[in-house]
Order: sequence, then structure tokens, then C-alpha cells
Amino acid sequence: MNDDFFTRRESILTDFPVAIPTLDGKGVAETVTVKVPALRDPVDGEIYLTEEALRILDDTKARYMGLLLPRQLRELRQQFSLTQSEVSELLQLGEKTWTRWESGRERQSRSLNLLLKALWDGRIDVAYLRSLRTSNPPISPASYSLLSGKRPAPTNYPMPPAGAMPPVAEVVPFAA
Amino acid sequence: MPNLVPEDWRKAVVAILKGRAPGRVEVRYRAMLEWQALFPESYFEYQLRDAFAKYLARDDATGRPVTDMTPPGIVYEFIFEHCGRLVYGKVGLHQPEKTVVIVFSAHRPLKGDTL
Repeated sequence: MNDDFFTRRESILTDFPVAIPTLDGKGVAETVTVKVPALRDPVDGEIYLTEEALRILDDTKARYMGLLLPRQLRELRQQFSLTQSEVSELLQLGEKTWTRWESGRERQSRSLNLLLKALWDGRIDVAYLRSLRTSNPPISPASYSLLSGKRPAPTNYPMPPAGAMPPVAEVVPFAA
Repeated sequence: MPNLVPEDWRKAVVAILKGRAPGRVEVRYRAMLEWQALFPESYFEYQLRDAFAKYLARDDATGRPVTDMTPPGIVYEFIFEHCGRLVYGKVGLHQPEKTVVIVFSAHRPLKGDTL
């Protein structure tokens, strides 16, 4: 009987209303109808969305939200001859995050998509992203206080012992 | 009375929902509509899978077996909280030639949907 169900269903194309979220993610901006492949059980008329249909629904949302699609992410990575691991490191992502984006298993956030769009549109390049990694090491609160003259906010940063602070000139090599 | 959902079933369903095991996921058409109505701000379909997987990954996940479903696989219904809202879920694990997880329901608990 179980097998009957899986063999008797017929492939159909069906309309599905896709809710496109607002920019703030708190509501629905518009609803668009897309045709998706599905399986219909002739016995009770129930319709089941396949994985392909689910992917189309997500791609539709992504497109309307201005997100790069999984295949575009793969193209982007290949354009710069990067492996998934290298691109993850460059964007300071978790090891598997890019892989999930490229497979469509998850989607990038709108804010990170801005960075990816800038890469896609050629406004920034990989060399620029690499330079950020090497030329802008994080500034500790202690260094910040020396630069700005302000007292650092309390943090969990390990503070150097008293008297061990480097001279300002060493902290800011390019200072006039 | 709701009981703990069997671990073997939970693990098999979660692995497929998360794409960590061979098998496929199908979502009943009206379940997808219900999910969209319950979480209109929810961006993507995979968030439905993630919400179900997150609950079913819990050792204390409780539910009740459902025996009158088509197709007649191993089906459980359960109620859980996601993003501050209660969700009534019904999921089946079926094994024709390849393992299939079917999400039958994903809506706000209705009158009578108590476990």
C-alpha cells in the first residue's frame, strides 16, 4: 500500500503563492505566484511539493529579495579561482557556511549579500578583501585609549601589565 | 498522552531534514501554505525544515504516533515552540525504495490539537 502511494502519484505543475518578506523581515511585501513541480495523489487529491519545488520557492524569494542565487555564488567563487574553504576564510565565515549557501541549503543574510553583490558587480575585488585581513588587525581597547585619549570601555580583553604599554609611535606607525 | 518520540525515528528524520543522510523531503502543499501563514516573515522553506529538525533533535521531544495517514509510514504529531509561536507538526518517515520524510502539517495548534 505504501509502494502504491509512491508509484500512483502523478507529476503535475501547480501554482504556489510565495510570500516575499518586507525589508525589515516583519511582514509580507507582496505575494507572487510561481509554477512548481509537484506530485498529486489521484486517490485523495493531495498535492506534495518535491525538493525541486521547494528549491524554486526559495529561489523565487531570493530573487525578489535581491539575493545572489546559489549558482551565482558558485560562479562568483570560480571567477576568482577560490575553493569553498578559501572563500569562507576570506569572508570570515564558518567552515561550512559558504558550502550551505552554494548548495541552497541555507541563504545568506541581506546584509552579507551587499558585500557579495559588490564583489559580483566588480566594485571590490578579492585583493581588497585580502588586504583587509592583513592591514587591519583588531585594535585593543588599550591601544584605542592611547590613540584617542579616551578611557577604554571595560571588556574581556587581556590587558598588558602596568608599564608594559608600547609607545604611541609603535602603535600608530603611519602617524605624522 | 504524549510520549517521548523514539530516538531512532527522530535521528533518521533529523538526518534527512538536515541533508546529512540520503533520502528526500516532501512537504504537503497545504502544510507549506500553513507554515507561510504562521510565519509570514519567515524567509525560506529551509527554515521550516530547520525548525522541525531543531525540535526533533531534542532528547525530550514528545509526540504521539498517528496511524491513519496516507501513506501509512511511521508518523508522529507533536506541538513545539518556534520563534515564540506554537506549531503543530505532523511528520512521516516512509521507506518505499528510498527514505522519504513527508511534512504533513505545520500550523498553529487548532482546537482539539492537544497532545
